[in-house]
Amino acid sequence: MVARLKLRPVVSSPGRAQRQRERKQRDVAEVLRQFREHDSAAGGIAERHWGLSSSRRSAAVSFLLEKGLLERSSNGRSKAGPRNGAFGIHAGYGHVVGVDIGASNLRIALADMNGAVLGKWSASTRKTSSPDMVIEQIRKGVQYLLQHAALPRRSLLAIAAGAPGITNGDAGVVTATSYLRGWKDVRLRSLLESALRIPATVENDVRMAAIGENWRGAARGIGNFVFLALGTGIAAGVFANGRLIYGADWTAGEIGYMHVPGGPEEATKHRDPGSLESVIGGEGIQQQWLHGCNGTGVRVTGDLSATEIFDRARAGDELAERILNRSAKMLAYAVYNISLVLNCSLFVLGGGVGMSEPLLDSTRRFLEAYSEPVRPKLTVSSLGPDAQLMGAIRLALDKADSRIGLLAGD
Amino acid sequence: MTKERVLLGRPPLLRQTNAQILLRLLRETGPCSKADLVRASGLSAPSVTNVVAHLALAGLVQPIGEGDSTGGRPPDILRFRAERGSVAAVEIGPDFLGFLLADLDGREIGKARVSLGRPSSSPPAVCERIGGMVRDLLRQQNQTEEHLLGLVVGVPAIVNVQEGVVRALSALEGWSNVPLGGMLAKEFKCKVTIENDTNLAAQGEYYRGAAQGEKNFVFITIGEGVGAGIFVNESIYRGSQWTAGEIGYLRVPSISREHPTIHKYGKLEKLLGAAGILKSWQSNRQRSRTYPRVKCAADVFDLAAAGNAEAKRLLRQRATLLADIVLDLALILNPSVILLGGEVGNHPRLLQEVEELLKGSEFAIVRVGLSALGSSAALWGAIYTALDPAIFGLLRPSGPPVESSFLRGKPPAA
Repeated sequence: MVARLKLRPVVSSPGRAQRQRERKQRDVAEVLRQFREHDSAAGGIAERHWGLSSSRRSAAVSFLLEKGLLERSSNGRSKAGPRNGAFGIHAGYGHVVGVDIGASNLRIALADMNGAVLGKWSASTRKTSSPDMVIEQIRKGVQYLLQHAALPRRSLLAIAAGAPGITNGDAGVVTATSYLRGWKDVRLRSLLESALRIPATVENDVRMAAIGENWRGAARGIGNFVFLALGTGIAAGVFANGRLIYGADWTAGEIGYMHVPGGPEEATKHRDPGSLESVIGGEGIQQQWLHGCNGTGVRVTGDLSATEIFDRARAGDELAERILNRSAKMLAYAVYNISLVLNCSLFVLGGGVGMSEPLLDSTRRFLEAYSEPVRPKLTVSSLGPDAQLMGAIRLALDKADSRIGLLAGD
Repeated sequence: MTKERVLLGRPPLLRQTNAQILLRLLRETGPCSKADLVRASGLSAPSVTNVVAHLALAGLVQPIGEGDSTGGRPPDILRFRAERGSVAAVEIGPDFLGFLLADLDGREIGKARVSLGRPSSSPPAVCERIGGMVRDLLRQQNQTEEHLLGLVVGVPAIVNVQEGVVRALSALEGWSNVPLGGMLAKEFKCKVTIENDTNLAAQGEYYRGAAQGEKNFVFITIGEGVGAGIFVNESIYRGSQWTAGEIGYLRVPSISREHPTIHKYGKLEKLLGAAGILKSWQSNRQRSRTYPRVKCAADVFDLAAAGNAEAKRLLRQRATLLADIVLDLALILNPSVILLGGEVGNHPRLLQEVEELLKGSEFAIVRVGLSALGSSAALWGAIYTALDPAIFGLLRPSGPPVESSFLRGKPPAA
């Protein structure tokens, strides 16, 4: 005889109606996700692509049609009957806002439900970088964009914002950033939600750019890739098996302090630029340039940006060439090491310094020399400075989709 | 690449999802009644009855009599039949074959280890020995081949897990692009999986070792070679061409710092591996006869622990290399813990030294620890890998396992 075990419910046991509601919500969210993934080619989603039974799929599609989020697309030629092909996301159903909070600029974009950008707005954050001021600026920017597009406020469904620092997406908090003064443990999500009264998502800016590149950029549809942001600092947004890597404390990809050969030998202090960052970060490059100029005393010392210095290297400037070589070599080491660890098929370079063509060319040359055992592919961002904004728009759309999914429970 | 298996909403598969929920409950909490299952799972009573009947038909649950009544009819108590079948783990080492047989609860029911001589290390010979040894182990348990529900083989090489192909195994002759999965599938009727041994060891530590409950961690093995098993988002990450974690080739600054003569960087592995440590020690010994004789790399670290100055210097050097690796992995992946395993890596003195070196760096705070399972980590990882597919394979209505990526019409791999 076995004593009867008293089991506590592992999950609260919901009623049948509740379960059905939840299932319907999941179905709707899944159908929307499929339309997003297949993007404008929604007409081409054949039945086999759907992970739902046909009855549940049609229920979800009819719900979305009824709510007006899907529409019969006019030009979608269907091969398999009207049921499969002829729908698309109704672009004007609502709108979302994507925000990129940068070290020097705040940029906002307004987009429709297909992710088409209707307007952009930007402002400087150099003097006004406190969280409250940034939120106030975002509020102003959103208002301007809505007015400009002649849209009512209630057409806004969601907002997503990226910050240049360690961001806990679950809690909606920007934990730390060295680029914005006064930002420590900022509850960005709740600040945005209370200022704009729409649901918000927050994300680290580099991961956001990786999402953008994965959705509409150079890494479209690629499950394993690394977005390397080279600007003032250096960081990586890593996609593994189609999902972003966050790590245990949301700091995965903060590679500014990575140890690769060729860096300064002395141990780096916290808050100082990391060993990698000091050589291939924008400021590090400018400092090497100024240092080199002072050394010779004859050169015209200009306030050149890293990209301009690299361009000079191509024009034959010796000092610039030396700096470019050193940067490219270290970048190649970093790319090589990361690709050994992750075996990812693609590296997408972005950010102010990362978009430099001479840097890409030199880095590729160094990489070719290390033939074993991986040969990472290198390319530049195809969205350029818009990568973050596109990622923010995608995140905001996902947020909006999940809200629409929730409606299915009512 | 490996897609996460998504179970679809079709009724048989829905029932399978429910079956998985109930089985997990039964396996974790032990025998209980249907009413308990209804309460604990949140499923409706008819669903539970339906699924339990399905599970009983598959031989996975069994009523074991009546429990205490709380007023009405006494409830039937159900238990999970762990003896319904068994799973086998095999580890192919540079000079040995390791075996572990477990029941469906993951309890060890048989174990063996044989050495692998040179003439018998060709792929067909190894397959034959694996076949013979596994059948022996089954026979000792009075089980037939029908009982074997899964076989997972760990290999110290890059493995295409999807196709079961071993890319290259440098320690053994004739092992290059060997379709080991296909070869073993001829020996056994059950599902056969081939996997890299370090990835298995990482999963072993996750299953019942030092990484239980860790969603993001790295297992570094240092023995003959150096490699890492990377666990992100609660599963092993293998990369685009199955080579993720090949850290033996990393380019870290301390190599150039400590070994100005070595310009070829693939040597990180050769320095940090057991052979490299022994070689350094022996070449030092030739210079000075006062050095004690050692048998293996761990002996050198033991000498360091006993206070031998030269051994201490060597240990420090290797620890510096390892600290650089740990730091780079911590920055790229931000794991909650990095475990050190393998013949060399599992040495407490090495860990202590690495911890001291990392203390100085504020920015990559990562916990470093030792493997808890030691040399059996890979075998336990293999058991862990084999269990769920073996159990759920019994529940499939018919035919081979179906993964949603096939149903969705996407190509299986890019």
